[in-house]
Amino acid sequence: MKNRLKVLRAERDWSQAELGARLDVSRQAVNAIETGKYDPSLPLAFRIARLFGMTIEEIFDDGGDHG
Amino acid sequence: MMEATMVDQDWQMRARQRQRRINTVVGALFAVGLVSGFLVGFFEDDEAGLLAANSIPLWLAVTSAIVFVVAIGFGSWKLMKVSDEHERVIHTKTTVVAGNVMLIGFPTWFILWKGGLVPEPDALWLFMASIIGSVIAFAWYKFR
Repeated sequence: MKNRLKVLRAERDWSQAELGARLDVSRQAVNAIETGKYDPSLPLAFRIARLFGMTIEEIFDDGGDHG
Repeated sequence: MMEATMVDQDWQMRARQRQRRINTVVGALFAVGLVSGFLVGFFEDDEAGLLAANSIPLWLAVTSAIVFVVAIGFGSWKLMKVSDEHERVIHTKTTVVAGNVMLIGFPTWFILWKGGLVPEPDALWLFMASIIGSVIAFAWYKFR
């Protein structure tokens, strides 16, 4: 699943380790999500969205038609 | 600036605490294995051979078996508690790979043995293969 996590993280000048600590996950988990190798669970997706003050849909794109 | 510094220290502290929790569980399991292995090696009958039956005292065999089951059971549960969801998925996939090595490996070996092509299936080799399979799977899923 595509996402804007890397861009959002870079905008705040956070490292993967820092974002991981803020989300209480490992640096590898952040890397796996950013590179699309792992799709986060719904609770983690909500934590990510809350941290950036956005909705899940604004961060994650499943490629589906939202119309 | 000061607030930013405090936030920096906070996330670094949380990251260290998180890693420490995982290291504690893995370290405790490693220590149990080390002590258990040392005791078995110390009390083992040297003349009986490494894989021979009745080569360690009964009390040590029973104690080691109980400690192993409790340590692995409790350790696995604890490790799942301190891991994040990505690591839990990796652990689950790794266990599936290890189980499949056994489930596919034994019948394959068994049928080849029935045909007289290979020696009788050996549980130790199958166990070792499943461990190797799980280590490779863990490295693949964790670091790819």
